[in-house]
Amino acid sequence: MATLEIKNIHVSVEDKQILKGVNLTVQSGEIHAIMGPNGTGKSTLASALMGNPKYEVTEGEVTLDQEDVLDMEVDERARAGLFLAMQYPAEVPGVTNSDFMRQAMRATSGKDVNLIDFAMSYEGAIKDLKMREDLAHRYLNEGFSGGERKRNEILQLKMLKPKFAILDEIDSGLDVDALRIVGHSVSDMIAEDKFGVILITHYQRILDYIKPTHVHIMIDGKIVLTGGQELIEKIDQSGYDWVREELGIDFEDKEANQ
Amino acid sequence: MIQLLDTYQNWLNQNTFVVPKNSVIEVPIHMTLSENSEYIFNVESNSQVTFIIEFKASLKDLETIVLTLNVKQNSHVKYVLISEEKSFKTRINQTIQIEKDANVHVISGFLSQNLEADLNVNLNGENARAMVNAIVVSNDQQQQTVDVHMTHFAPYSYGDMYNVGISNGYGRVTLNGIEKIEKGMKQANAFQTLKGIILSDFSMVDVNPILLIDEYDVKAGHGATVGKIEEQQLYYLQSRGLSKIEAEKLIIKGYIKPILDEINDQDLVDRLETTIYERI
Repeated sequence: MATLEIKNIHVSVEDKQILKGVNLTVQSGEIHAIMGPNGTGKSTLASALMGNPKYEVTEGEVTLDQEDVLDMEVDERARAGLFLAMQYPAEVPGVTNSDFMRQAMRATSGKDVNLIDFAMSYEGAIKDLKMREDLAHRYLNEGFSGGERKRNEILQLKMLKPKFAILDEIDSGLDVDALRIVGHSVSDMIAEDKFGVILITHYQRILDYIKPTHVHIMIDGKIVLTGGQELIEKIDQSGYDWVREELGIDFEDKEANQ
Repeated sequence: MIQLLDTYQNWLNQNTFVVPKNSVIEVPIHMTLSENSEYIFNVESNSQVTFIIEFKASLKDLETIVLTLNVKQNSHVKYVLISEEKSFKTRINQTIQIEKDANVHVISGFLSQNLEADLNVNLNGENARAMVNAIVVSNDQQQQTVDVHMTHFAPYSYGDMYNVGISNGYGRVTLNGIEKIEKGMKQANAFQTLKGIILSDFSMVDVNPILLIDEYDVKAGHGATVGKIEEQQLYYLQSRGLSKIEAEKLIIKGYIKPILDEINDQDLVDRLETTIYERI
């Protein structure tokens, strides 16, 4: 049983404060959905937890089994058991998916990875996610469609088996079929490996496949409401306006303004 | 002085090596050059051969070698030239003449500490083709300049180059690529890609891609990039557990792997990789 604890974190991007005190505790096996209108800081939370250099944590603390995460380099966080499925993963030309993956597995597990075992499990995972068979030999995300990139993130999650996975809008840009494949795959993984999940989403559809144990609504850099699956239904029917009225919070729906 | 295996001794006459016509040699011919001197390689028509040439330097202040490669009609040559790290300052002057329907792939790894390398490629006959790949890696106070000139003296000729310069420490690398299509050389193709990677705050890479075209009916294109490794690429690889150094090495490997993959000598590739990674 592992615990990820986020206490009162404040995060800025280019001197603009985005997160204004977020608290969240996630245990192994729990699935925390973080929902909310666009531009309220959901993805900022994901990036700050992983240590993206663009994001600066100005206050608060994050611990993984009592170890200070904010003090760690990005790669140390990964080796401690954090995984972020990114919304916009980088392309790395000239580096094949399989070379990268094998090196990443060696780094996170601290053990040498037998080539044949690796090839077998990687090919199996590629099939499960219904990805192109030549994926292993293609360059990392180069020339991938949006959907392929998202699936490649999930494929990496499947191979690396972290303690905590943060899934940053893995559903956006996926068509119905791809969403079903990704959704089933992630929910099977959680059932099997019992890792903790922070699932950031803007839509409800993915939650048909991945059933959260906790639902949080984030508005203007804070979690303003926490509940169970009943919140999903309410958002589905009435959007986020009721949150404003019920809690008396004034916020701007940036998407609505676009 | 040229040193090579006994098998091909009779093709060597002092500093001239001649591959007779209609020779198809599957196994690469390895040679080691030493001393300041001039060397000539002639490949007669309808032949196919791979040269792997290492320039072993003594520890002199300045060494100069002059190499000429003449490739006759319809011959195919892969020409790998590696300049070793020991020499303090090396000047390498190479000229390659390519006749009709002949094809030359040049792969150069320049690892001398300080280097000036000139490569002149002349596409002299119709359908003459040349591909040039060079890797230059510099560190400390090393200065390295690589000039590649390709000139299209015939229509339907094809020239392409992909050169990578990597600079660390206080190193300085200059990559010049000049490709010229003379008037009347219709349907010629000229392409160039130059990449510079800067690994420290004090290192420099200059890239200068130049196309000089005196004919309308051609295809040509060039691209050049210089910069540090992208922060978001590093972040991505690190987020999967790779240390910063491992991530940098993997990204650089991505740049040079397509070139190293063309060298059919695994020992040599391993040695080059070791030297390259030591510098970065």
